Amino acid sequence: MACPEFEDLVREGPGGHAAHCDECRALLDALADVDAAFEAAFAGVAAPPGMAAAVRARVARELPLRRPSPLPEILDLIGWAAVLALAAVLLPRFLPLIDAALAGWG
Amino acid sequence: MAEEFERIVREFQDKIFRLAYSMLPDRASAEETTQDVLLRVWKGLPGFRAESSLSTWIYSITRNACLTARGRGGIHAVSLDDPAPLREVERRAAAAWPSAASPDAGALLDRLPAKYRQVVALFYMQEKSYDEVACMLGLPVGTVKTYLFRARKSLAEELARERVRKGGT
Repeated sequence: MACPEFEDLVREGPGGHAAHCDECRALLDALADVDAAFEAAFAGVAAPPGMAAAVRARVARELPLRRPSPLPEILDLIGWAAVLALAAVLLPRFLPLIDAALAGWG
Repeated sequence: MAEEFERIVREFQDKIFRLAYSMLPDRASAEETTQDVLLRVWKGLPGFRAESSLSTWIYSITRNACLTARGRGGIHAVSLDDPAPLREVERRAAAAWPSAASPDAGALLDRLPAKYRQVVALFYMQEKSYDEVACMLGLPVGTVKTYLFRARKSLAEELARERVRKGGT
């Protein structure tokens, strides 16, 4: 019986073709050992426990949180004050015209 | 912003470290680069717009920081074609494998082409998540699967041949 492609062999597992073929069983065993070796070497690799504290310390030292600038609020206030001042200046001038127009319609 | 940053540190510090560890020659360099990355994240967070996902943004910063670290004097420069990356990991792997009959992870890794090595290491570090590895390396998931399949196949075949040659295990 012809040996299956590697992909099919892996999909079938040890109970498939490999159960009757020493060469393919050896290949599956080797694959399992490769996986186990990498698992043992790399699983669980993590940042050291003090990483978060070290980062916090560096942030505090190198980049202290700046207080938000009050400039946008100040400009906003100046803008609204200007609008209100303009309205206060212009409204008395236009009131007679508005009255006249309303009387004309009445 | 401080709470958001704390959440990012908790969620990403290990992933950033693993990605850095897979790109840099030793643990100390990976630790230093992880701190640099998190500092850059802190600086960039106010301007971060959700045009890309947070993880994509952070991994992109990490890859760039690693490339910068490789070129910096303090960290030994290595290229992707240099078998030197991961050598400390390889040494640890070798040390953690006492039986001569069992495959040595470091030696196996060393036999792989450079482009497969990082994918293999990250895959096992990241609990075998194709999606996570693809996102970390900025590669399509299909490419990650292909690299892993070819790497595992080639190593298994080589190991099986070696065992036949030695006539044991």
